[in-house]
Amino acid sequence: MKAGYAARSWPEVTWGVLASQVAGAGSLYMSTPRPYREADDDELVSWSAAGDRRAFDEIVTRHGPFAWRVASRIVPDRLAAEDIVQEAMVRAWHQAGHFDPARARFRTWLYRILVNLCVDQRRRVQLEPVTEGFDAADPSPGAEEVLAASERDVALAAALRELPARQRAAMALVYDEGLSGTEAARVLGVSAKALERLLARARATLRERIQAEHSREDL
Amino acid sequence: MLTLRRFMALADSFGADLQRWPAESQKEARALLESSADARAVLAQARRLDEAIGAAHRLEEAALWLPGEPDAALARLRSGVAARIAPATPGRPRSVRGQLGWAFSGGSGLLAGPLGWATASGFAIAAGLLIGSLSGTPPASDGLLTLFQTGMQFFAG
Repeated sequence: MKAGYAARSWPEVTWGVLASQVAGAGSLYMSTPRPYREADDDELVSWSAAGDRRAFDEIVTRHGPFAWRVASRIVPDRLAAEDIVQEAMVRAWHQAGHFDPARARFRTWLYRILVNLCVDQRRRVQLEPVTEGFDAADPSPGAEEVLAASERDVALAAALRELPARQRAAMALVYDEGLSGTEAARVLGVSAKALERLLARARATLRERIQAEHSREDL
Repeated sequence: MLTLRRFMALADSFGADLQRWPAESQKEARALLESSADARAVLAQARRLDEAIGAAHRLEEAALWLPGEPDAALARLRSGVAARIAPATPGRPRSVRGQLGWAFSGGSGLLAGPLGWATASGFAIAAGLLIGSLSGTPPASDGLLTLFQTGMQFFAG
């Protein structure tokens, strides 16, 4: 070892040490880049489990927007939703080695982590009723749509936000994200029948709210 | 065979868009729609609720997604996650021994080996003399000079 170092100039020795340290740091520094964009989720998770942070960044880029949409529907506080998505991604990174593609799709697995965090957050934080505080004159972008909306739409939007977390999650997954009932049930960790009941209760609540609005308008 | 009762239950859960319904029920649901006016009425009622939910959903979206917000949110997410999964950089303070490890290390260190303590003593005395000469203060007594001379004789053999 000493003889080997002595036979080389100091830049060669220094580079040799650096190269060995870099090689040990993980595949991020591999000379041949992996085809991240072309890789499917299972490949990316597999590389991530081996410490490839670039592969995981591709996962975040690919699934981040969906994750944020789902989280922001279940957790109305936008900043809290962002925090939850970030936490879900970090947990996915740490648990990537436990992901088994034979048992679930990656999206289902990730959404399950995410939705569980959202439901937990909703349980911790008691939501304030938004019906009274819904500011139709909010000057932020989007206010025009709020002003133009009927009272029924405003009331129904409020009712959506006030739905119990699991009902709201079921609605977001099936109605907004287009997941099948089977996949949404897996995300929520319930049977297909239980998912149907969650959706039915959510729709029943919304129907009652509409009928209440109609009754109020008729008075 | 899909009964009207089951058809109503599915419409209550999944609404009027048959694409959302369980795949195994879709074909039978279409058949029932062709043959049953009650089924068509159920679906029409479900569609009205779907439309109302859709309008409320668009309202919610408008309030939720500001222009450019999705891109900004994704950028924040990527940088936030990258920072949290970055390899930990140990910032623990190194011990004095660690910082001077070159002097104490194993069998090849400067102060290792059989002459280590003698070398250390020599450095200490030389350093003391250097400090003394720089300070300009004369030796306090001849005894110190004697001690130095004794030490030099020891190292000379």
